[in-house]
Amino acid sequence: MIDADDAVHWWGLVLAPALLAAYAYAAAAGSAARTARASGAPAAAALAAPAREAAGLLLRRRRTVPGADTLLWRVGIASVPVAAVMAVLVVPVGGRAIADLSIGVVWFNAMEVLLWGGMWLAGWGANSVWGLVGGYRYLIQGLSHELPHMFALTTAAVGAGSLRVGDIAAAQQDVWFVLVMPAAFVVYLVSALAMSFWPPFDQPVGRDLSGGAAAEPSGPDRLVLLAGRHAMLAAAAAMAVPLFLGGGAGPLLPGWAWSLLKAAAVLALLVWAGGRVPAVRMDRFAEVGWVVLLPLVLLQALAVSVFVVAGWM
Amino acid sequence: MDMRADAAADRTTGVSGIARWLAHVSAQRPLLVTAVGGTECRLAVERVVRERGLRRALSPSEADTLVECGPAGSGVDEAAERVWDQMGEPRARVRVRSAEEAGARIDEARIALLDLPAQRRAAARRTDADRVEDQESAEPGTDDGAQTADEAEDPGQDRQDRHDHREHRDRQARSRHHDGQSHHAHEDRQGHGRDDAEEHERAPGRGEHGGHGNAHGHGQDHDREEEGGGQEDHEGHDHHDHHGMELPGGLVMADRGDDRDGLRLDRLHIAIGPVQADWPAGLVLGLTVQGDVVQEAEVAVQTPSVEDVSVFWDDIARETLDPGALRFRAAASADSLQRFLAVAGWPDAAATGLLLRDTLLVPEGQATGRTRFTRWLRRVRRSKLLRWSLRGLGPIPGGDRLAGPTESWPVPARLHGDAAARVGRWIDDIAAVLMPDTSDTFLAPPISRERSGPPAGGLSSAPPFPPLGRERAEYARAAVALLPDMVAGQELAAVRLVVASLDPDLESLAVYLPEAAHD
Repeated sequence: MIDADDAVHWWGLVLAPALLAAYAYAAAAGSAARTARASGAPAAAALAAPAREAAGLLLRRRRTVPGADTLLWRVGIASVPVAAVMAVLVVPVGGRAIADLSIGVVWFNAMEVLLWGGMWLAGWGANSVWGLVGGYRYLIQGLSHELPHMFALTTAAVGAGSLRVGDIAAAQQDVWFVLVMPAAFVVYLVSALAMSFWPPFDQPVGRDLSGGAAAEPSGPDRLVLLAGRHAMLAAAAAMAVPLFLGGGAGPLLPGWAWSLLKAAAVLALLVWAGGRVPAVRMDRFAEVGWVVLLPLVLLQALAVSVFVVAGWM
Repeated sequence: MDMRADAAADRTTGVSGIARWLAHVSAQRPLLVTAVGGTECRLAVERVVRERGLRRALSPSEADTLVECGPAGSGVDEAAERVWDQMGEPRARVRVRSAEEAGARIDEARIALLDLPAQRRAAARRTDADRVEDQESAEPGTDDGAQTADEAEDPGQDRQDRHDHREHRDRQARSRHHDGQSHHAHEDRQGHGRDDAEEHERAPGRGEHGGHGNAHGHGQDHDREEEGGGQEDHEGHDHHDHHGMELPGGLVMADRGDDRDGLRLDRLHIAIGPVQADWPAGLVLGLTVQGDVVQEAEVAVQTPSVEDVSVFWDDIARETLDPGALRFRAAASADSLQRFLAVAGWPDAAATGLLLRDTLLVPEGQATGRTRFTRWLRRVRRSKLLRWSLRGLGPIPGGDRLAGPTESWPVPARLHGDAAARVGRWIDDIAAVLMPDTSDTFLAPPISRERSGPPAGGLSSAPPFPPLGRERAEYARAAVALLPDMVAGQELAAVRLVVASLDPDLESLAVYLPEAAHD
């Protein structure tokens, strides 16, 4: 699957997870600060809240559940951070990715679909009705956003004529894809929130289910699940940069700095958006996904295809 | 404590410096359990939690502090006991009996949490107790294949031994958990002693996903099956009865029944409440679900004896024209609204609502925040997404009458309409004191709460306007009566929203209409 010219930058195997962890923490801290501000508390103090929570989880005793499929449960939980790390392997920072695969877009999509299985197992394996329903909700959410999401990715790939993420970033020398295909960008952002079950798409771990798929994991298990979720959001934000925002292109600063800055901006936008609206009910979102988002992004793909055939891109 | 003493303590107790440090930097995560009559305490605890920048737990798996608010002596206690059993060390448990002691009790819990050697000893005692139970019951040590990882607080112990037993204890705790579906006690368990309960829980053939198979609900679950008709499998909480498919660990498959689309699906029996975040105190909703769709529902109310119950949202509002009373009503509405927003998955808006509630109740610094609250109220009122989520949910037609045991009574006007309409009424109550163009009561003098005698007896001398408590009692009576039919056929998300949009005040119900509170 890896072509001869698929350069693999092994040094990044250390750097990329570290960067991803930093962004994931920033997402958690930003979200805690946002809620603290809403409740009238000083936002600065909340920046350390995720670290304090993590400390408590490390100390906490882990529990087992009767009838739980412990192996599948733990595999499901572990797959969340694993999928996030695997997804960023193909995301270039300043033009260099760890593995700039010829099918990078498909790889990214596959990692996200891995999460479907992972979240289902995490919910089902716990042998609890809350986890089970949380797992269901993640799947129905996936069924609602996945096709629009795939067509949003496809639209960017069509615009560049390549499935290689590096090529897609390079194809935006003249004009960023966000200007050519704004609908695809919006759909991508919506699905980025949904794939990482981030508010307002956090019903799989919703308060109304006592935490849903996250109701039963305790201690280190819980830490892995929550950290993985934040990492997935960070990975999705980072991927938006080469797909729609010109990759590392920008004045003055080096390419890697622009990539990181743009990713941080997208992440900040996603975290901020999460606090502005109530949760989207999954039973109602299915309709929106299929009746609104899918036709919208298909029209977008059609328009971009016409541009490409006409030689305008 | 100086470092040398710490180090000495480390050597004797086996608590590492890292564990100690983690405990110090960790944030306390309280799980609130509110009994009927505990509203005042709940509000105080929620205020303390907010002021300290803490977050409340949603489930026992993430909680380290169990805070019981209000009087003991109802079924809520037993639910709290089971939740306590599900919490792993380090853990602490306190009861808050009055609003003034909320802060002190939470401090107490924090101190207990930081005492790691004591936590260690408590964990060992729990393990030993389970070991004794194991021998007595001579239950074969079934192993569900679970692995327990090294725990930070546990270096250098006889790990294998401890783990075996811990695992077992955890499993028992979880079986308790799963019987009632976590934190969600079932009223029919009240009569069982603990030993009795555990014996039943060990019986093979309880539970499945989501743990219905309620070992205590003898009778009840069978009755349900008979009513439902068409089930092939028994719930199998009785060893001899069950002929369902047996799974590893002695569990059986769920029974099955036709769903709304005519498919045969698993039926689970679960209960929501009384220990549940953002849930009316004392309410237990027993549900038969397929997937997450509710087939049948029944409501139970867990109240302590009436003498113990004080109605918080009550006497101040006897004269509705008084600005302080309006403000108090607005605080009650803000409380309901913030809980609703939390259930609707809008934690930031809920946080501001909670701040507003506290501001309305204790008016120091009252002039600050008006802009914030006005903006917040406007955003909630105009949220298209919220309206879209609530559209057509939980409708109650106007003009209905409900049949009581002796007489029928009309459904209170505040219940009419769908969930959005009911939420809109809370918003109106708040706007009445918040919006500059209506009145300036947001800046009104502090509320002076004066307690009147127990109102249950002296209703003949009622003031010209009905007391807020009585109004809320009639509202709660109708809500509880209508609830089962409203939630049947709905998804769990809708069930939570419907209940939150009703938010029945069982405290008022217990005091003003005691006969209705024990249906």
